[in-house]
Amino acid sequence: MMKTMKLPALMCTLMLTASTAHAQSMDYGAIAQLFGEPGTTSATGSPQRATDVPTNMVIVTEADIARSGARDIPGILRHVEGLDVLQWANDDYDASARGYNQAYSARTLVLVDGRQVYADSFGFTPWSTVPVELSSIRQIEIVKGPNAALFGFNAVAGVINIITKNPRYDDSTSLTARYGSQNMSDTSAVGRLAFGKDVFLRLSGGYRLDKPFGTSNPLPFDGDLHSHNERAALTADAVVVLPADLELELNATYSEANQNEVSAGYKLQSSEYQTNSLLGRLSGDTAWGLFKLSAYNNWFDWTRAVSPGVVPPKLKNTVTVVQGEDVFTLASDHTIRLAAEYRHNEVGTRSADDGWVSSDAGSASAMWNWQILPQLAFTTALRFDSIAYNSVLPKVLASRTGPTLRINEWNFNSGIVWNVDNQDTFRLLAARGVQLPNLVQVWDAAASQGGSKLLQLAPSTVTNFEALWNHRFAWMDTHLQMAVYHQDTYDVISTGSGTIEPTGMPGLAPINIGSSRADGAELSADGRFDEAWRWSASYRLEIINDKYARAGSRTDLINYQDTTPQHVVKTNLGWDWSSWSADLFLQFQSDTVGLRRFGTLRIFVPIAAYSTVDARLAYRLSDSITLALSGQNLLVGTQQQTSGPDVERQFFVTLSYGG
Amino acid sequence: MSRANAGALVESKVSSVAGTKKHKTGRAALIGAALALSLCCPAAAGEVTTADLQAAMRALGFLTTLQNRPSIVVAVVYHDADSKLQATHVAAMLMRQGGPGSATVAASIMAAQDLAQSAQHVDALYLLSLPPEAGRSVGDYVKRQSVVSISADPACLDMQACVLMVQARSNMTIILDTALAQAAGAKFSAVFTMLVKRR
Repeated sequence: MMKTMKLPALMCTLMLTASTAHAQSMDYGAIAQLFGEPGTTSATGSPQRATDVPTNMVIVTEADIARSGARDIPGILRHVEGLDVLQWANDDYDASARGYNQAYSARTLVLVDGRQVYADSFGFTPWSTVPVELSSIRQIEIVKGPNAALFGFNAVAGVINIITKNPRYDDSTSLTARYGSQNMSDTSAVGRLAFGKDVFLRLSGGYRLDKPFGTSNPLPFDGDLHSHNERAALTADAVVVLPADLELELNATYSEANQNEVSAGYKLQSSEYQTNSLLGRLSGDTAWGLFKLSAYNNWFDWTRAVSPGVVPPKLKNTVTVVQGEDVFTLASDHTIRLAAEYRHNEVGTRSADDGWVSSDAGSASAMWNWQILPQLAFTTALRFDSIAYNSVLPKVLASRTGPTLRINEWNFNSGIVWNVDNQDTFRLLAARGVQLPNLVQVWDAAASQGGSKLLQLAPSTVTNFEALWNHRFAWMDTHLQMAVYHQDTYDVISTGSGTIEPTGMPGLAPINIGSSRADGAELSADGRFDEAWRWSASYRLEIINDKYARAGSRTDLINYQDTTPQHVVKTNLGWDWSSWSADLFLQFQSDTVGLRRFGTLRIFVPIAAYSTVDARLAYRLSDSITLALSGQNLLVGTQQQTSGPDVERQFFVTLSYGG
Repeated sequence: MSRANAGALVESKVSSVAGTKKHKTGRAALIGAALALSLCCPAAAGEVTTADLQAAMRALGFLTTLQNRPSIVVAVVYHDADSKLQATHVAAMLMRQGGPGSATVAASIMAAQDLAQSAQHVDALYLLSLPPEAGRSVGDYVKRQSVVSISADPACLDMQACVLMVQARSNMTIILDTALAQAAGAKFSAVFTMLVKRR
């Protein structure tokens, strides 16, 4: 909080010194209109066309979101090639790029406009708490593979950066009402106000109420369960054009979610989340480059429902981040990005007597993009992070001073992009990222080790090597992409307790158990025919080998090689005619296994290969009003997709205005 | 015959665009001429497509000096009698489609060899394909008058005649001549310069 309060003084200093600034922020709409494709900064930090990025990136556009028929962000992501989405319960999802998915999936970093919504406490993204309404999203940028040189820790399997509409450029006024199965009712509103030519405000909010699936639960319970799920969110986003044409963005969010979900310990629980955030960002296009200074604070509170008379567990996670970056060009063929970041992260339980764990991290990074030839570019980015952990243990332990842990790590991303001609593009990519143990894992490990000097827990590191080929065919306006990749994960961390006990006492400590290796190939294509028809199809083959040297008889093992499907097929057929629009999404994944808690043990349960169908049929009542019928998991009434409760068929009717 | 007549009509009205207030008359005549041309001889526009022109005007929206302007003045530069007709057609299309954002476009045509003597104020030049000597003189004019020049012809880059080469084919290609842009005082937003190819 203190760091946020100091921001205005720094902004004033920059305003005084940046006397020749010009229009600065990304006008995503104008860029897409000019280039015929989206622009992004999520690959290197520098503005780039989607076809030029030195990463394997998928951009889900506003139109894709509307056509998905989804009612939430994971419902959109499940249609994206190369992304694995597990639906554990109604409203409870985990998403991960290229397999390695699990309950409370840790390896994919999720952000909204560059602000982290990934929860460092448990190391996962509680999707219902993401304070974004679907109609306020400009695009969702998905990077597959590590992108830690730009985003830092935990961007190891991939990054999902949700870009919302800019109140300065986009009139995003919309109203949406949705009603459906599982007694679901969902409303959201987005409004945009302009105060003169220099002040713009967007307000958005949503409320959703539904029931958990009615299917039987094979997992043990942790605490009590609610009879319904609930989600509420509010966001205010202001953009102020300052003198000298600097731009100040102020953003405040609030969200609350109560939902039945599967925890990292593979138990079913009713979690209650409350999140808040405050962000300030100053940006400008100056003589010395495109600079951006951001500061934000996230507050994340969690508890779970318990039986009457039982004291509920509580967790408070506060994250303070200050970031500065400057992107500039040297001569005509070099682009440089320099950045620095400070981050304070703290988790406490019920009271100070129960102790806390915190980390302070500093990082410096540099990116260099060299346009060697008009058709050939080389990009490399390096980032150094230094992080120190401190902890105070619960008073019931012999020593209250926890062991220290210091981690110094280098991350990198490098890529060569060769645009051979208008038809072919080749990319060669190499990257390394670091996944930290989450703060609850550090807490458990610190408590188990007591007052020893150094904590014996290393972060996981992920290296990824990849080759991509893109080709355009005139036939059916087809875009083809082929990718092959090899990925190594070292120092895999076992789960540990995966939760906070009601007593506030630390649980089972995690350890580094070994390594994991993945080899895979992705083939995807999309196109159009007869004007009215759209299509896409993708296939992924991935083979994972876990090599756990220290597994022993531990009860907190995680498994990647058997829980990741080897074969995944995703297809979409869309049709637009007059006021009608229809989309059909067919997905198939081969058989896997799931982890299930059984007493103190984790056991494997087989999950048969399955197919799902999602669909949307929409009719435009007027230029701004659309009525849509959509559904998920339409093939059968109930279906086993995870080791948790079976999922149910879901229908929604959506009436939307604007957007 | 119809081409020559249409061209003469356009030229007489175009001169009024810059010099008098008969803007609306000139605009209507240009649009009428363009429609007539497109009906009688659809290939007259040659290499410049509507998509090229749309992209060129959108690219101008990233020029900091032209942002939030209600109108801009563009001269279409041609070389010889053959390309004069094409210039007329292009000028008409520019006026019809409008400029960056909601700006209107006042378009005129101008022979490359007449640029040096021209006292007409323009915000931008749209260059048709030019021979090297004409291209070089346009480049000199761009530097001297601090005007931004755009073309869909990649050869303009080698002649150092165009600040921007904007070609909308199956892929959108935009190349910025940074040295010429600097010499002409053309300042584009940094976001734009990082999105395009630079030379």
